[in-house]
Amino acid sequence: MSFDPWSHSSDLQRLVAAGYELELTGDGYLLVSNVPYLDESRGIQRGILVSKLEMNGDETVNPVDDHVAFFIGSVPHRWNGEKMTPLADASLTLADGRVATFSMSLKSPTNVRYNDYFEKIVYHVENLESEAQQLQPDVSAKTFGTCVIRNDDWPFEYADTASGRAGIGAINGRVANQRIAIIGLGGTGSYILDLVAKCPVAAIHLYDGDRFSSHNAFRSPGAASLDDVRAGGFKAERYANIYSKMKRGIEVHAYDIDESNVSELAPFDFIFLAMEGGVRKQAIVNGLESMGKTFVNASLGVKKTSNGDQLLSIVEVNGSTIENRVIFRQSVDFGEIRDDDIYMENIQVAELNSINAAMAVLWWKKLNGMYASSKPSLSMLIDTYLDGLYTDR
Amino acid sequence: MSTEEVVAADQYKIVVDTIEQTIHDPEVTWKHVVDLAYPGQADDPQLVFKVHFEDAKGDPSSGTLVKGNHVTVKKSGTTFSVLRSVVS
Repeated sequence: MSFDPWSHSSDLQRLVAAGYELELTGDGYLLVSNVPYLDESRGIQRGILVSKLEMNGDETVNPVDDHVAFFIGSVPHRWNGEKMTPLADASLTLADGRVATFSMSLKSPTNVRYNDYFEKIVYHVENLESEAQQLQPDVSAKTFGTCVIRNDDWPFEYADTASGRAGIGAINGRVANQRIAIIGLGGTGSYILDLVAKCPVAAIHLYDGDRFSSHNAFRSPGAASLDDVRAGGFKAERYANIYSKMKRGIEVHAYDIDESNVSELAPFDFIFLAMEGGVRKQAIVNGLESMGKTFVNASLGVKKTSNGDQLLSIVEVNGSTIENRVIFRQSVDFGEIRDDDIYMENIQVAELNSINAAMAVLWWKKLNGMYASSKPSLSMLIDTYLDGLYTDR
Repeated sequence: MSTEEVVAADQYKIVVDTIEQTIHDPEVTWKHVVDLAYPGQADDPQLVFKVHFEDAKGDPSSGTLVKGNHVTVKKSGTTFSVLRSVVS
C-alpha cells in the first residue's frame, strides 16, 4: 500500500474538502498555496503558507503543539495599511529551494494546542485572508485548485518528517538529486547503503556479483532469517528489496565492476568503494580518476594479537577528488590478501564495518557541506589499539 | 616511576602490536617498525602499512609515522600499531 496521507488523516481530508490547495513536501512540510493577503500598497497578492507537518507513517500526529507557520510572499499587511502582526523575519529553506522569509506564531484561540492541522491551517490562513476580504469580500484561499501531491518526485516512499521536525531539510537537501554508486556490498557496503538510503538522493546503484550467505548475515545491518540465508540470492537484489521499502531509486547490478565495465560509473555523482584491495580496485580507481570522479574508499584491517586472544584493528576512509588524487594514492593499499599470508587474516566484525561505513558517509556529507569543517581532510583513520583518530589535516 | 623497568644503557624497549621489542637506536624508522611487525614485507610497493605511535619522546608524542620518517622513543613504553587495511 502506497503512502496516502490524504485518506489516512481526517484533518488533511477536511482541508482538501474545504477547497484549500495543499502540497506535502518530501521533507515534511504542509504548504497551502494561493493564500490571499495584502501587500504594502493594499494590493491583493497570493502567497504560500508553510507548516511543519508531524506525521507517523501517513497519519498526522495530533494534537498540534507547533503554533508557528511560515510564509512565502512579500510582507503581508492589514487592510488599514499597517504591517501584519505577529510577524517575524525568518529564513526557512525547503528542500526544493523555496524560501519562506516570514514566520507567524498564532496560538490556538480556544486551546493550548491545536486539536489538529485543520484547526491550525484554517486559523493561520484566515488571519491573512480576512484582511484581503476587507477590500474584496469574495477573495478566498479555498480555490478548489489541484492539491499537489507530488510524491512521485519524492526520494522516499513516505515523507521524511524527521528532517522537517528537526528543521534540517535544507541541509539534507544538499545531496538531493545526486546519483550514488556503491561498489561492493560486503559488511561495509551494506552499512553504507543503510545510511545513504536515509538521504534524499535521486538514485543508489548497487554493484556486487556475490550471493548472500550466513557469514554476511553476521556483518550487515538488520537480521536475516534462516530462509533469507537459504535463499542465497544476490546481495544486490536482497538489499534493494529491503531498502526499497523506504527509499526510492535503488537499482540492482548483480555483478562486479572491473576494468572492462568501469565506464558504467560515468553517470554517477559520487562513488563509494567498499571492496577488497587488489588489481581490480586499482583498475576501478584508474577508471574513476580518468572520468574525473569524486569517490571514497572504505577499508579496514584486523588481526589477532600474537597470543591469538584479542584483536588489533584499524578502520579508515580515504577520499579522492579531482583537486587531490595524491593522498588517496599514497594511503590506499592495493595489495592482495594472499591465502597463505599468515600476517593478514580476513577478519571482519560488524562494529568495524558499520563504523567504517559511517566514516565514509560522513566524509561524503562533509564534502557536500552538510557539516561545518574547520579544515577539510581527505583521510580519516581509527586505531582501536591506540584509541586514536588520525587525519591528514 | 616505580613501575618503570630497568633497561640497559644501550637498549630501548618499545611495544609493537602488543609485543615488547628491545632495540638499540632511539630513532625508530617506519621501516624498522614494519619489519618488526611484518618481517620482509616493508619494501613491497603494493602494500601500505599504517604505523601509529604513542608515548614517544619527541613532540608530538603521538601520531602517524609515515614511510621514510622516524620517531624518537623513550627508554621504554613507546607503543606502536602496525596494520594494513584491505578488506571492506
